[in-house]
Amino acid sequence: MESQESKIFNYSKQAKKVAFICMGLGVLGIVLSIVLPDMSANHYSRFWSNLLLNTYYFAGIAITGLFFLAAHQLGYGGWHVLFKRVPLAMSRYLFVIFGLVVLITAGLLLDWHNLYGHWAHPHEVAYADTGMAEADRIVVSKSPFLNKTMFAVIVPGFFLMWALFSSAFTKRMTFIKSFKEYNQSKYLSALFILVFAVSMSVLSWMFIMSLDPHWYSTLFGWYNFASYTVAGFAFMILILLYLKSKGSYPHLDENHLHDLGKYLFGFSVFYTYLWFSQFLLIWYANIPEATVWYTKRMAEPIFEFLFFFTFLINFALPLLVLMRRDSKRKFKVLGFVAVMMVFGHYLDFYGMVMLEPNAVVEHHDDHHGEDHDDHHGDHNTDNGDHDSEEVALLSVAEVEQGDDAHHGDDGHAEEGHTDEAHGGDHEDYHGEASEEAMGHDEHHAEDHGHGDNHGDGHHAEEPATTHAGLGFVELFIFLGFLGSFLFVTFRALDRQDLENVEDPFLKESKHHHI
Amino acid sequence: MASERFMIGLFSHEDNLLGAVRALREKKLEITDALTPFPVHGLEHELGYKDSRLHTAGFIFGLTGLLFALTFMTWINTYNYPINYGGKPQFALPSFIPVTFELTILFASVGMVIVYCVRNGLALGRVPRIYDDRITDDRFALVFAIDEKRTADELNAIRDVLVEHGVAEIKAKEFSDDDEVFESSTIRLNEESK
Repeated sequence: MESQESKIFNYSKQAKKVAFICMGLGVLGIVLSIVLPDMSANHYSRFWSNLLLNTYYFAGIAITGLFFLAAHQLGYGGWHVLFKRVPLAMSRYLFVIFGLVVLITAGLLLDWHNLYGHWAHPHEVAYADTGMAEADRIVVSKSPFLNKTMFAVIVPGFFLMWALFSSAFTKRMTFIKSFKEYNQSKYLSALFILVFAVSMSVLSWMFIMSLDPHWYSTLFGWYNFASYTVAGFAFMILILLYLKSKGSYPHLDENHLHDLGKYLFGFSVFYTYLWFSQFLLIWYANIPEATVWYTKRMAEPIFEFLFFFTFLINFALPLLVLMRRDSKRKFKVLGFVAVMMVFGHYLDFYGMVMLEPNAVVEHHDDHHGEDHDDHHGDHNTDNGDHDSEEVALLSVAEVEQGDDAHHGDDGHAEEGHTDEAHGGDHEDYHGEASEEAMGHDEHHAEDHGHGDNHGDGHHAEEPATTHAGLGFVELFIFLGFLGSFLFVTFRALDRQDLENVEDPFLKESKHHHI
Repeated sequence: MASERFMIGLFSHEDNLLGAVRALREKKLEITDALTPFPVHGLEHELGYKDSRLHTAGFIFGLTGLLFALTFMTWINTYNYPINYGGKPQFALPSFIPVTFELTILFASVGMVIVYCVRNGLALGRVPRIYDDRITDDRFALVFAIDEKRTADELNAIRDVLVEHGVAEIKAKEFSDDDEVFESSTIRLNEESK
């Protein structure tokens, strides 16, 4: 056992070729997303949203490497130092990410895309209480935080900080020659954890949640973090399995991978916990301004499918497969689950990102669809009690139908306007009737959209259509990012003796036994 | 009156114990038990123990808790006492999940504790068999049951192996288990110690 010699890792020509082919396909995907006939809709939204999606996803995977190292350094972990080169190499991709983020930010400032059209180009909404069209109140109330200047400072700033942390970690942690240096690296780790905790939340709001500024979830940052951390661990496992198969890691055995498998398992459960917590609270409260995120997704067959499919693939699969000790120690089983996690969490982010920018917005119909939410939000902040919502609903109804009927009428309840607000008051309601509360809500949103523009007439059979699709464009662009990610990672490891990391805990790590 | 006799080899170092275990397993001599004051790495592999099936029991208990919670809540909310909570459907699955989650954990953890205690003879009120006072302190013990299956030749072979691997002390102990009280008598077989 002791005499095993590690081989210098050589990034083989063959592997490089695979990466280049992937990158070539990525370029093809980008070209397709610009050239194909119906892609020009909404400032080439399909191209930009794919760029945003993959940038965010791979940023999460790259930052997981740093998070992994920092957490272990702070927790006096020693078992991982054998392969600490790999998470460090993964984090090198943050420099590429920074470039792409600058591109997206430039696109926002120069109007190349309409990803953040909701708040970058706020439109006017007809309000009932004043009877006039004015700027979207929710967007206005958030504008001190959510504006182009803040975006241009915060988002590239935080990503640059992540990239610089990657440099600092690589410099400080690749070779830790003494306990003094080891203790010093703890300060860097602690600083990173602090910065990361804040920046990952803020970035998830600005970068992803602001695609629909009318909706917010306090769990969103954590939910994003859990999602890309699982993907990051999956990538780490797959890269280690590859390097092990190339003979670069003779001391890496099933004990190390068992521990990584535990992370994969644990974070999958954590992810599901947050996924469900976010859903449960929104489902239970059933407030239109909160449910809108889900109802929009439930209205699109592909997103509805993904919603449940990602749950299955990101929770049921790792839970049932990785629960056994043996399956975490078998490379093939662990590798299979890791591959599934990579795709499962890509699809999860797909569901978060792709719907919004690709929705049909030529006439800003979808904006108007949320008018009633605006009233909720506004009145809630004013009074904060339940009655104000009823008033808001009433005022919307007035504008829409010119109807002075009192709120709480049974007639109204049937149309779903007052379902949410009054559901509890109607004692005669039973499961079957109120079951469709969410459905009503969605129709409700649609109705308003057209109500403002055309009065009555259009009705619920028309869901908010989207240009988003899961086709070759998405696949190619994803492969392009994957190829460049692997290329950057392996380039950082090229021609090195990977096991030769000086560290006080290296010996312990080589004899890791669980 | 049932009584059980044991031969006990006491080692003062875990490496000697591991060597003896290896040699005994090679000669196909059955070891009843091994007792150490702290966990000895690799001992369970040397003894040829299979993985504990405790986690399988845990899974089954967890599944029981999950099904119990789901069926019980479904029964109450849809059939036994249906109440409308905030306009939600009677079968409101999302709201059942937290309770289901908790009951799954409760069943799994409590069930596993009970199974663990039963399997290891740690039930309440049970008087444990103490083969030697020092096995919680500084002695590593190998225990061999002396029953009708064990021939005198085998016992002699075991003793030879133990002595060969530097056993500190070999002794025999008898437990009689009427009236829940164990009387023990110690018979010294071998006084030589290293």
